[in-house]
Amino acid sequence: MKRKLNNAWILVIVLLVASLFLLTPHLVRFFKFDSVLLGEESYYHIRMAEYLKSFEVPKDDPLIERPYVVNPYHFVLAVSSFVMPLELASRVVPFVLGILSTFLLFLVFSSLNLGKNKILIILLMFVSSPIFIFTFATSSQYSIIIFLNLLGFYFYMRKGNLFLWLSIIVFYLIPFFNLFNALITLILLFVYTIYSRMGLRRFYFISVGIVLRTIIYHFSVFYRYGLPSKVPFTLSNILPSSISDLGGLVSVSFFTLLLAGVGLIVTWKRKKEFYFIYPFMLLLFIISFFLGDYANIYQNFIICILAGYGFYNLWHRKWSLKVMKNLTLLVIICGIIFSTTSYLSRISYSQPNSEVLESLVWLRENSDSGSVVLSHPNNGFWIEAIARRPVVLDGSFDYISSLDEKVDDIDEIFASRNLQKTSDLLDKYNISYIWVNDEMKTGLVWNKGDEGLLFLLENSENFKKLKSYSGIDIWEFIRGSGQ
Amino acid sequence: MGWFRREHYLLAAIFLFTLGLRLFFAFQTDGFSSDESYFNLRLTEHITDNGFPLIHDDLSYSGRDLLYSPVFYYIIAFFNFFFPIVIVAKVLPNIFASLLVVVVYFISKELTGDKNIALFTSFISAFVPIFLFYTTNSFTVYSLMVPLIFFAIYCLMDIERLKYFFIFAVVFAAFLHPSSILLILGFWFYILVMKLSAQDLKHSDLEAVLFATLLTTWSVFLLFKNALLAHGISVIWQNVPSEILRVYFSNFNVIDLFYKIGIIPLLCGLYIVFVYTSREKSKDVTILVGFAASTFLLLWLRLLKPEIGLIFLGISLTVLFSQFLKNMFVYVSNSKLSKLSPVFAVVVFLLFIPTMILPSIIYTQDSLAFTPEKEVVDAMVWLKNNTESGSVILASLDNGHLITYFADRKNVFDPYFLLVKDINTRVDEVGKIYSSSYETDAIELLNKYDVDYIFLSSFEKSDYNILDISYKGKRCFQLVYDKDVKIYRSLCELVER
Repeated sequence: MKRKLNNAWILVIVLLVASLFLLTPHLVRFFKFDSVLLGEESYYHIRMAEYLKSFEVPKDDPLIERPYVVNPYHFVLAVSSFVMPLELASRVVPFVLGILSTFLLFLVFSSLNLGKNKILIILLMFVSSPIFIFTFATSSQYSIIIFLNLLGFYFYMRKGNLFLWLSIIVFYLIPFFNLFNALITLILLFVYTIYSRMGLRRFYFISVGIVLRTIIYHFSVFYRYGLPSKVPFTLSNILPSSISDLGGLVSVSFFTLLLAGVGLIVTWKRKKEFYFIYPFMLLLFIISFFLGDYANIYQNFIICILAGYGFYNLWHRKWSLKVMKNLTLLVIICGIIFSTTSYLSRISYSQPNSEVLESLVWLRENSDSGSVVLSHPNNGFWIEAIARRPVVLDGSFDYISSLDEKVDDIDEIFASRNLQKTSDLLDKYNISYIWVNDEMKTGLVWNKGDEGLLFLLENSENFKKLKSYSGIDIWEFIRGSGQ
Repeated sequence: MGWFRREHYLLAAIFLFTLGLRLFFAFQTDGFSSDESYFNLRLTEHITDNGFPLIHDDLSYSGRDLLYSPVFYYIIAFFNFFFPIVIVAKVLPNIFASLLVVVVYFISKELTGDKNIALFTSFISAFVPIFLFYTTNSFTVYSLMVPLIFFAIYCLMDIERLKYFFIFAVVFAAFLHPSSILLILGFWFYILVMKLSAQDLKHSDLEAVLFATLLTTWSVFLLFKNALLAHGISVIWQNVPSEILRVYFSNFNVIDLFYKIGIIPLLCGLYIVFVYTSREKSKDVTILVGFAASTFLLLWLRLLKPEIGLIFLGISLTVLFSQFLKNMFVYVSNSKLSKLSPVFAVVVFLLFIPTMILPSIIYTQDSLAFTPEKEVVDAMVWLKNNTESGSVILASLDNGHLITYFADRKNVFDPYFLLVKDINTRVDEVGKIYSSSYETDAIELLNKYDVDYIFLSSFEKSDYNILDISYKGKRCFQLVYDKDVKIYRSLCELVER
């Protein structure tokens, strides 16, 4: 007897797969890296949540010359930390939000009457996408932004005043995160309102609130601190940073993209039904110039929907050669599984590892609290959060004072073999320690062992190697000796 | 044995003749005509000795990771268990390459429905000059890849009947070598031409092309993921240094096409391409036209090594020539000269002797001159016997693989560029070492690459336009081998104060 797929089964399957993919990086790191927390930004969020937990909202970031702009995600982490340690909260909160988001997406698709098979395929595409794994396996503010968007959208789709008010409450929270997220939310709502022909009154009601809140909140920040730094954009890296198989982090797998292409061709025949998707995709593309890779998080929804349509079409269309159908679908499934597993492996084994943690704990215990540490900006969040020492630059360039000058000076320090020049610049930023890891030595900063600062570190008496871990060296800058 | 007819005996005879001709040339010399062959020998020998492929090569670039599909080397290594490597590496690739005549026979028969034309086309395909030149005395994966790609094309012509063969060919090609991408491009060109010329595209063809595309793309991602991560989209050029890329194409001109492909197949094939993209319609011809067009486009955009592109283009046009013959004979038999059809056949055959058969034989004979000179091999054997095992030898690009194979020593560079960082700098700096007049400059660069010995043969002299290294008389360079080839030992180290 052929059993029909019901909603409960779809939900169980999808949530199980989502849980598997979201838990894998944590399990791998639990066994391989002594459970060291994943990601870079995670460490920034954990640090700021710690301040909020002690009922202290800093005006400026205590470890870097940058104002602190309140982020609701830090509040969520801080509140969660009353029932569990912050490190655990940084894993549990995104995981729970990921599961809830998947559930909400299921509800949204069910309301749109997409059909059970299509819903299952699209949701499987979604939970196996590298972007889903990135958003909900690392501690990222986007986990809550996506959750709130889906929740608000689900309420917005329902009839009745209660749901309208609920959606208003949810949508009004979104501008607290980021200007562009508020903008995307507005566009999404507008597109859906037009598509569902539900009347623009509800949309106006919500959009006025979002716009006002955005103006009040963000423009006051801009007025005080100026615009956040623009993401450096080059056409040459758009492909590698958008495709996970080419090394992108917040990116789409190649096979999903290929399937989305098939989906686009399939839906093009019903373009009147899907017309709202095309301008939305274009807008997201434009926004990606400002938001960088993070715009891919929104693109991922559209790509997964189109890929789902593509796969569904390949599965259900009449094939002349049955064997080709089976093999083609097999290759597609293998391709997606390969992309997902290879991404999972990459993200699970990504930095920081136990050596990074150990070295920074050592630095915290063996240096003065005000000592400035120099490293690549990518390592900045770890140094701030684990070693609790100030840095010149970290992974976020928003609202940093004299940013260009700092970037140029750091580049100069790394590249120069002139001791006098390097010492002057180290003095300028009061740098006492230099933390160098393997990534910096193998392409991130230098390509050869005797390049720039590496040469000085090895050959000048002004630098003393304090500690070495596998691939990581901690150097002390000794002022005024042997220059 | 009922199905084994006269034409099959003739086809077997053509195959044996082709194989015999190839082996005749191949065994005229002990060596191989391309340095790539020696690299492939090392890869095969490693599998024979260890059972698994060489992933990290300690000798190439003084130590680097390799990225390639080991399928071809496993096939050769299997036979290496029974026969010596030099015999296997000479015979087996030539057997594979000779199979092309069989594939061409079946394609031509499918195109024209005429077994005599198919046999004739099969015979002349044995003489496509560039294919004969490139694969007769070389141990290269293209010996197998080329017949396999044309076999996949043949299967697509009758996909309903040959679907399992098509699957086999596509899977095999996808995991054999990344040049299978060329097949996929050809298929999509075929679909494009079919759509543009408003011909009916069968669902089964589209399904087969879709499967081939997905499988090949996946295999390339699977096998060359690290190269994609390292080089991004520029992996298309396989990290070939820009200077060498320029040389590839600067020597390439239209005259080359005439003698590397053969003037008659070239002109007649192009005529068929023109006719079947403008007036006539034939699905089978369109598949070949699509493949030829995609190869031509890649050549034109400089995305394909000229020799490889010309091999595929040459064979495609040779097969299309069968359609030309068919059209010509139909025309003649419908005209007043119908009685002269046999005379036409003889004339066509005679025309091929001076325009294709003789040039290809001369061209192939020329290829034997590219085998490493005895003096070079002797010097490398001397290096093997008289230097420490970890020594680094500086030689020109053409000698790179020979250093690792004959001398069993580390080289500074060789033509396997994939995954090498800053390849352009390395190529420039090796040039500077050979051509520099300043000892300190040379020593600094020699130190940079940890070079122990400098190899100076006719290749280095012609590549860098020198007669000798200009700082040879100084105390830092000791002449340790002085014959037709010279070897200097680098003795000094530059110390920074």
